[in-house]
Amino acid sequence: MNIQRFKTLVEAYGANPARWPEAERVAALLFAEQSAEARDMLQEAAAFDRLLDTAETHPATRTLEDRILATFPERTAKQRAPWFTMRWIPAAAVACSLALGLAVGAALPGLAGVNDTAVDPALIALSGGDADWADMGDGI
Amino acid sequence: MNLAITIRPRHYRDEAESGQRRVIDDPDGELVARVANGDRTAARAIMARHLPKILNLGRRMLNDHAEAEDVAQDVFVRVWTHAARWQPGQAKFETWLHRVAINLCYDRLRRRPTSNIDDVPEMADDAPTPVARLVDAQLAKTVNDALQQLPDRQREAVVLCHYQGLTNIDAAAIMGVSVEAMESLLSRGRRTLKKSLKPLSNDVFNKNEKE
Repeated sequence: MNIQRFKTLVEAYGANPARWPEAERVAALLFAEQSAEARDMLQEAAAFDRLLDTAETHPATRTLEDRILATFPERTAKQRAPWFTMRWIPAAAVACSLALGLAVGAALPGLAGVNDTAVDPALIALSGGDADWADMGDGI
Repeated sequence: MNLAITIRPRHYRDEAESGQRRVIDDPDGELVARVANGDRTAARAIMARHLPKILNLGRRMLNDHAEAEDVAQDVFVRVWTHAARWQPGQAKFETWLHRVAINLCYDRLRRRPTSNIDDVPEMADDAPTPVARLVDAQLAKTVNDALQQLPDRQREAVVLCHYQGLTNIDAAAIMGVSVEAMESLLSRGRRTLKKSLKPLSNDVFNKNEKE
C-alpha cells in the first residue's frame, strides 16, 4: 500500500473500510495509522460519505408488499409433499389399528370364557422358547 | 436478459478451479429452497429482507417511484419463477437479485427517449441553494438530483457500492465488467458528484464540524 493506491481507494470507495476491497482492507487501515496525509483524505471522504447518505430513501409500503406477495404462485400438486412422506399417515394407521383391536375385543365377549391355561403347543414353538431377542439379530 | 447466475445454500461446497474447496456463504440459501417448495412464509421473509434495498435501487436508477415499484415486483416474480429451478452455483442470491433488478432498470432506461447510457452530461457547478435554508428533505432531494445527473454506468457503480453496500467483486459481476473498470466508474462517479455538490458539501462539512 502506498499513498497513491490509498488515494485511489478512498476516492472510489469512500472512507468506510467496510466498502474497501477485502484484499486491501487491512493494509489500507495500517497505512492510515502511519500517514497523516491518508488520515486527512479519510476525514474529507467521510464528510462526503455523510452527504451522500442524506439522499432520499423510500421504505416499501404494505400495499407494495401485498401486491408482490399476491404474485406468489399457489402450491401446485407437484410441489406438495408426496403422500408417502406425509406424517399424518403413520399416526392414522396406529389409531386405526387400535380402534380395530378395541372393536374386535368388544365384539367377541365369548373369548373371556376361554381357559387361559390352555395354551396351544404350536404357539409355544412359535415363541422360540428360551431364545434371547438379541440372538435374532445375528446374521442380519 | 441474462439470468444464468445460479445460487447455492450456505452449506454448499464445490471444487474451485485451483482444486481447493471453498464455501459460498449464502444466508438466503435455505429461504430460496423453501420458496422453491412453494412456502409462502419463506416468500414473505425473503421479500421482507430484500424488498427495501431493491426498491431503493430502482428508485435511484430510475428516479421514478412508480417504475421502481414495478421493477421490484418484476424482480420478485422472477424469484418465484426461478427458485423452483434453483441449483447450486457460483454467486450469492443477493448478487443474482441485484443483477436482475439492474437489468430490469436498464430495460426501462433504454425505452426512455433521453437515456444517457453513453453520454456524459455537463454538470452544473454553481447556483446551489444555501444549505442553511434547506430542510433535510430538500438536502436529500438535492443529493438525489445530483445522483440522477450522473451517466448511468457511473450511477450504477455508486448505487451498487455505496448505497447497496455490495463488495467490489459483486458489483463488478453485476455490471459485467472487471473490478478495475468498476472501480474506475465508481471513482469518476464520486468525483462528478463531489464537483456538483461542492458548494453544498462545504456547507455540510462546516455544519458537521460545528456540531
